[in-house]
Amino acid sequence: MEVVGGEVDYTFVIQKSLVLLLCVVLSWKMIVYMCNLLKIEKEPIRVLVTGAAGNIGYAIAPTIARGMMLGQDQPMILHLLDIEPASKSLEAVKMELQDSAFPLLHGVFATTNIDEACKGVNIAIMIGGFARKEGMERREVMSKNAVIFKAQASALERYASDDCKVLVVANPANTNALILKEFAPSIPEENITCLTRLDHNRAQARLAEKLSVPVSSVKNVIVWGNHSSTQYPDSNHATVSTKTGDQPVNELLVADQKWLKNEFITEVQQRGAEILRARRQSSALSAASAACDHIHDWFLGTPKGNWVSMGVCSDGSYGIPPGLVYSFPVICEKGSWKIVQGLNIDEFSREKMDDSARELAEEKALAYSCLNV
Amino acid sequence: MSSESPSFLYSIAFFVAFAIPEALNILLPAFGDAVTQRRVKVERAYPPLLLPVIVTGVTVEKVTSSISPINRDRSELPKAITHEPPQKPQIPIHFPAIIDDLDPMAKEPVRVLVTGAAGQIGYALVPMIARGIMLGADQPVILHMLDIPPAAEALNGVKMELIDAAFPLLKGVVATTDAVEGCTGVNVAVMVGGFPRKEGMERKDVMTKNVSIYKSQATALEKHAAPNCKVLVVANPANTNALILKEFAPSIPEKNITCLTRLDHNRALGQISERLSVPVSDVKNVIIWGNHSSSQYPDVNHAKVQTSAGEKPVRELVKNDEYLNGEFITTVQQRGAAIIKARKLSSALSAASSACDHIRDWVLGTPEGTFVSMGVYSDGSYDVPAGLIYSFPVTCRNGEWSIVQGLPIDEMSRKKMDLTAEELKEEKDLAYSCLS
Repeated sequence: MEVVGGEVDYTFVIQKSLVLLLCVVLSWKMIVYMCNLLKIEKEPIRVLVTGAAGNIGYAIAPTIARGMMLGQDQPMILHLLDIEPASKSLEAVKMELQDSAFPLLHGVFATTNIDEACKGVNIAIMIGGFARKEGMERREVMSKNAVIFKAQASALERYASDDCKVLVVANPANTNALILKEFAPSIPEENITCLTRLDHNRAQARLAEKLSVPVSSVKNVIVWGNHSSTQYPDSNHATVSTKTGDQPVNELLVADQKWLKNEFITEVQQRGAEILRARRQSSALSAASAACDHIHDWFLGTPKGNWVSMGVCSDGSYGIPPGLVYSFPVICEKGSWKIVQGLNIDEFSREKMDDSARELAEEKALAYSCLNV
Repeated sequence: MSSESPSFLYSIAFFVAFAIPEALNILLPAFGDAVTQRRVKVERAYPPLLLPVIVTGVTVEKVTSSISPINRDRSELPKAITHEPPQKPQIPIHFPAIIDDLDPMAKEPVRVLVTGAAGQIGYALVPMIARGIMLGADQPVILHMLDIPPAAEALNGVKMELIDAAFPLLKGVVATTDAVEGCTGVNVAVMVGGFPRKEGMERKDVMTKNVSIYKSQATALEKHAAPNCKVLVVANPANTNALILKEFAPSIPEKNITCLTRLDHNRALGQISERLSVPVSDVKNVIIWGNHSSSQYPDVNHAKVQTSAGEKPVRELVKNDEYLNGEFITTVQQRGAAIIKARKLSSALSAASSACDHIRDWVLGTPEGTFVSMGVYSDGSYDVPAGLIYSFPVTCRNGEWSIVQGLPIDEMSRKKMDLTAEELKEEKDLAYSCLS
């Protein structure tokens, strides 16, 4: 640096200051790294699982405890609930969770008392319900479940945390969720959802198989409606990621339109029965995995450009009557979901969507009659 | 974090090498000519200053990366074979498996075999593998599921469910009842299938049946598995089944055949954490010695708990030697039976989870300062007879385990360790007698 007659050359000073600034900016990384070392652990989230002694509960508990549902840095406390006859099995599940030494699992609380179980929960996964037995009438199943979910609604309303997110898995999922919503008016209706992610994943996998691509490259299938045999798996907006970008499934399967409108739909609808036949037990592994995905995406957000299917309270979008819990395509951001608007619905889809809506309205009427409301 | 640490250290280097002299350059002239001489000297010192700083930066980076628990060395992950040698049958993959992923950074898929996959441990284990719990969240896998012909339908049901779950890391599923097809090209084998003990069965009967199963699986693995295949035996009697496997698959390196005692290790950690009311992640370095049976010895003499005042020995914090030498040991030993009593079924969830932990730590390495329990081929350490599969405390690095040496063994521990070694020797003799 030149000193000219005792005076400092200012342009040179500015140059040097810029270099200094650059070094400070680079050193910011150092500061950030050191802050990471001092990172404070997050507060544990309380997760309630009802029907925890059953097969789906047994499959979902380790996925939650490993951080697959809420992220690898989110500790949790599990609340496990089941009915009195299953209390020994429930205790055994708690013992097994302790035996597995999960670092993120900060506590397990197993109980048969619904009020105790709901205290302070931030996430509630309602797997417990009355399963349909041979020879049971639809009305009977409906009435038993309506009673269960009415009781759970009051417990949740009174004891769960204000921001509690609810996922109903037990069938009839949509109607059980509706009962829950009706009898827990202080829980915001956007926090009550039901599981149709299983059908969404099945549809995605089915398309991937047909196209011989990895399952993760198929996206944006939609499952509309009721989680029953009237569900409508819609491939009209699905795309496949290829080296040349996203290609619509309809284009790739242009020769298989008939398959898309027939076999594809029935295969997804009846996949549950197929698995039941093969395993002699209903699908716990995939149901637990789908429930985990549902909460994960709701909580942490859907990837950009992707949507998923969730059974949510209808707000009238796509001509679906409000006041039903109906499966829509949603994107999730910052802990809340939003229905994807503006998708084109062709005539074929319109018919199927309306069929499912009709079935849901019937189930709703049936449920209310059982409760004498 | 691991990708940030080099840049952070180089930025330290920049800062020290450039910023300080530059700052001096700006400030010094303000103090007048008297310090100009010093400034000139500082400028001339640039080049020699840079080199030691960068060297220090690189050294510090290496040191911190070995401490950081997140930065595990993945270079020793078994590499998948992407084509079969000519004499081996071409195995059709029943699920479209596209190895050439769109993501150029994606790793080669690893093939994982699970035997007894239609059973309940298998049902709990396969989603864990498919979610990346066993090998890491960036490691694609191809699952090979093997079971006996009577379970073929149920096995197919499990395969359907795995497909339905749309796991992004699962690049293929092979569900078969043929041991050859199941073992072809596998890099990791978890042997859950075996003959469970039924009511009224003699020990010799169970042993005979299991010995013949593991003898045939040994041949299949030896001939068809990938080189350096890592084997974990879960089915009981785990240690002896693993020994049979080793004896009849001589070309599989004996260090690659292990048995599961991580379940007991995790149970011991759980018991201590309950007793002390601390998070289980703060407890470490319990040891399970010996046989995965009721003669196992859960040893807390070297176990530590992370407290606000640093690491403290467990014995010091529990302050109840009677409990640690009595009830604690029997609780861990008999936990399996307690779970069966409560569930009417054996512990699948915790067994599957521990199997994942065992393989993950083996492949990705144990954190610094922590050791885990694995049933491994004894080399005579701690005066345990060689030629047995015995559970030892091990650390894992670069895909290899090594027994932690030099731990002091007190008299009580010595007795218990010898007792379980005796039982293993008896089982070994029984197994050999069943074979002849």
